[in-house]
Amino acid sequence: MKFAPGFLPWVLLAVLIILPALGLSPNITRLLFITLVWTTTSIAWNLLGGFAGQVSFGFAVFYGLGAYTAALLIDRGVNPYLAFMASAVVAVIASFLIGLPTFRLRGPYFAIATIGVTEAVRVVMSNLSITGGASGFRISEHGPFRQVHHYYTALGAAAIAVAISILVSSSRFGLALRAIRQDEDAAAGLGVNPYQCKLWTHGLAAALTGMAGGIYARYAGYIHPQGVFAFATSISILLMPVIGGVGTVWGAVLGGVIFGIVEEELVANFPQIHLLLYGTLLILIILFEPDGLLGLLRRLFRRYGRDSQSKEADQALWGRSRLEGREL
Amino acid sequence: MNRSSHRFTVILLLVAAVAGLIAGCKKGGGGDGITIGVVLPITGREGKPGQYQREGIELAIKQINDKGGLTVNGKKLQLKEVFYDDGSDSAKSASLVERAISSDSATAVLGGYSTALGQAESVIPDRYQTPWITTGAAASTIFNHGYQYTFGTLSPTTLLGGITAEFLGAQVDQGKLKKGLKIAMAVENTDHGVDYAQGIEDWIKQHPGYFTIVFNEKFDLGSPDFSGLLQKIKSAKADIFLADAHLADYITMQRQYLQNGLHHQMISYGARGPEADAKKALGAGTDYIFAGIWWSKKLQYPQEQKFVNDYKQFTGREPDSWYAATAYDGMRALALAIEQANSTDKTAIRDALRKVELKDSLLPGGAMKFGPNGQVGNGFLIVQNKPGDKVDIVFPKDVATGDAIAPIPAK
Repeated sequence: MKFAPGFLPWVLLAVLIILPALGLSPNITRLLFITLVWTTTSIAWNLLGGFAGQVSFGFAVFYGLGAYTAALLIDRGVNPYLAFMASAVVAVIASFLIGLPTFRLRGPYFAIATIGVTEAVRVVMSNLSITGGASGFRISEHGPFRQVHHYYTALGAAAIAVAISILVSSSRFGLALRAIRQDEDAAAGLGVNPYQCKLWTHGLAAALTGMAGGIYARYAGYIHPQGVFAFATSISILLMPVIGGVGTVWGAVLGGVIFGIVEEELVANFPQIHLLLYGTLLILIILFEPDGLLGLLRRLFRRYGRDSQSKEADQALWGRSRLEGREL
Repeated sequence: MNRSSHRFTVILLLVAAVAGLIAGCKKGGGGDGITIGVVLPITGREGKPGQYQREGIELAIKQINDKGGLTVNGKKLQLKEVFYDDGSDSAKSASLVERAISSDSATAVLGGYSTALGQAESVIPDRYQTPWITTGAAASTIFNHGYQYTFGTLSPTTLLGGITAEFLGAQVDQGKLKKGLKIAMAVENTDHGVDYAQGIEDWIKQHPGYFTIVFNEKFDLGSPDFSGLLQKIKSAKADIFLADAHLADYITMQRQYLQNGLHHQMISYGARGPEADAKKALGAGTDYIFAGIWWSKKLQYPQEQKFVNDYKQFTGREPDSWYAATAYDGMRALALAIEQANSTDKTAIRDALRKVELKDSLLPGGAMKFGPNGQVGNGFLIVQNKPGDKVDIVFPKDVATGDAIAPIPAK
C-alpha cells in the first residue's frame, strides 16, 4: 500500500471524533481532554517560539486571561462558545499590549520581559476583586456536566490550531517567520517586516492559547491566579514543543500529547520525584535528540527503509517539505 | 556503534523506561473491598499538615481493617486506600480527585487540605455523584453552592473569627485586658482569610465598645517576605495583632515580627500556633501566641487519650496540632455511613452521611454530625503557647486546662 501522509491528520481527526462513541471511560476522556487543551497551547507557542524563534515565558498570561474571560462570561449565562471567542479576543488584545513594547527587544531580553509581564499580571489578578482575587473564581454553569461536550470542544480547538499551524507553515508568512528566526536583519533586508510579523504571530498564538484557557476553565469549574497564571504554566506550554520537536507542525502536537499523558501519570505515580523524572527526560532529549521526539521518529523512518529525503516522509513528519538540513 | 545509533538507543530506552514505569504503577482497588480515594498534599507548601491528615485517615482505615472491615449486606469488606499527593497544587488536586473516582473507582474521596485545594476539589464530587469529605478546608464558599455530595469535618472559619474575638472579649470581662483596645488584622488573601476577618468584625459590631479595628489588610498566601506589611502594622500602633495564616506563612511572619521588634498585648495567627515545626523554627518566639483550633490533644474526653496513644503507636510521635484528628474523624464518619447505608451505592452513602452521628468524635463536644450544608459546626478551642513548650486550652472555660496569659508580658 502506498504511504499517503496527507491523509494522516484526517485519519487522526476521524479516530478522535469516533473515540467517545466506542465507550471511553470518563478517566480516559478526561485525559484526552487535558491532552487536547495542552496540545492547542503547544501548537500556539510553537508558532511564535518555533517558527519565529521568539522564546516567550509569558503564555500563562494568555491562558489565564482566556480562562478568566470565559469563566466570567459563562458564569453570567453567556453561551460558552461565544465566551471562548471572547477569550481569544481578550488574549489577542493582551498580546498586542505586551508585544508592542517587548518586540522592540531581542533574544534574552524579550524572554526576560515576558517573565516580568507574567508575574505582574498574576499579582494584579490575585488582588482583583471582580475575579475573586487570590480566592479564585467558581463557575456556576446551569445544566448537567457532560464530559463528552468538553472533549469535542477541546478537539475542535486543537483541530483549528493544527490547521492554522499547517497553513502558517506552508505559507509565505511562515517562510518569513523562519527567515526572522535565522537572521532578523537579513530577513528585513529581504523585505520582511520582522516587528509586524512577530506581532501578528504573537496575536495568533495568544488567540489559540486564550481559547484553550477558556475551554479548560469551563471544564475545571474553578480557577485561581496561582494556577492559570503560574509561571509553571508558562514553562509547561514552552516545554511541550521542545519535547516534541520545536519549529515543526507535528512536533508541537506530539509534545502536547506526550505532556498531557505523561505529566499526570508521573504526578500520580511518582509525586515526590515527578519533577526530577520530567527534568531528566527533558535534559536527555535536549542532549541526545535536539529535534525532539519527532526527530526520533524520523530516525525510525530512516532505519526502517524510508528515504529520509523523500518529500512524503518529511511531509508526514514535519508537516511540510524539507527545505534544508536539521532546522526543519 | 556510531554516535547516531548510540543517541537513538539512549532515547528509545528512555522512552521505553518511562512508559514501563507508568504502566507498572497502576493503582486502584479491584477485588472485594471498598476503595477510598485520598487526595492530600504531602509535598509542597502544605506538605506537613497534609502528611498529618493522611496519617489520621490511614490510622482509621487500619483500625477498621484490623477489626475485619466494614459490614455491608452481611459481608465483611476491607477498606482499600488509593492515595494521591497533589503537591499543594489546586489544579492537580481537582484532577486527582477526578482520577480517583473515574479511574480507581473510589466509592468516596477524602482530602482537600487546605481551603484553596479544597475549593478546587469541591467542584468534582457532584459531577460524579460521589461523596467527598474535606478534612482540611473550612471556608464557607465550599459549602454554600448547594453541592449535594460535599461534606467537611472543619467548622466554618467565620466561627473561628467569632470565637477568637469572644475569647479576647472574655479577657476584657475578666479585667485582664482593657476595653476599647485597638486591633490590627492581617489575613491571607483567600476565602479563609476573608471569613476569619468577617467573624471578628461581626463580633465587634455585636459587642460595641470592646475593640476597634485600626488596620485590616490582606497578604498573598506563601509570600516570602512580610516586612512591608509588618512595618505598616507597627505604624498602626495597635494593641492586639490578629493574623490568619497557614503554617509556612505563620513561621515566616512571626520570625520577621520578632526581628522587627514588634510587641502586642495579644497575638494570634488564626488556626496556627502550637505546631511543633513553628516551635522548632522559632523556639521561645512562639510563646504566648494563641490559636483557635478544631481539636487539641489536651481535650479530656476518654476517646482523646486513646486516639493520641494509637496515633503515637502508628506514627511514632504525638499528633501535632489538630490536623490528624479531623481527618481521623472524617474517615470514621464515612465508615459509619457506609455501614448504616448497608450498601456501597454512592448516593445511599451520601444519604447516610447526612444522618450519621459520630458519637465518640474527637472534636469539641464529643459528637460530630454534618449540618444541612455538609459542614460540621462543632466549634473551636482556643489554645495558648506557654513557656517551656507547654500548650493549654484556655477557652471555652468548661474544657480549659489552664488560664490565659493576657496581656503578653513585655520583654
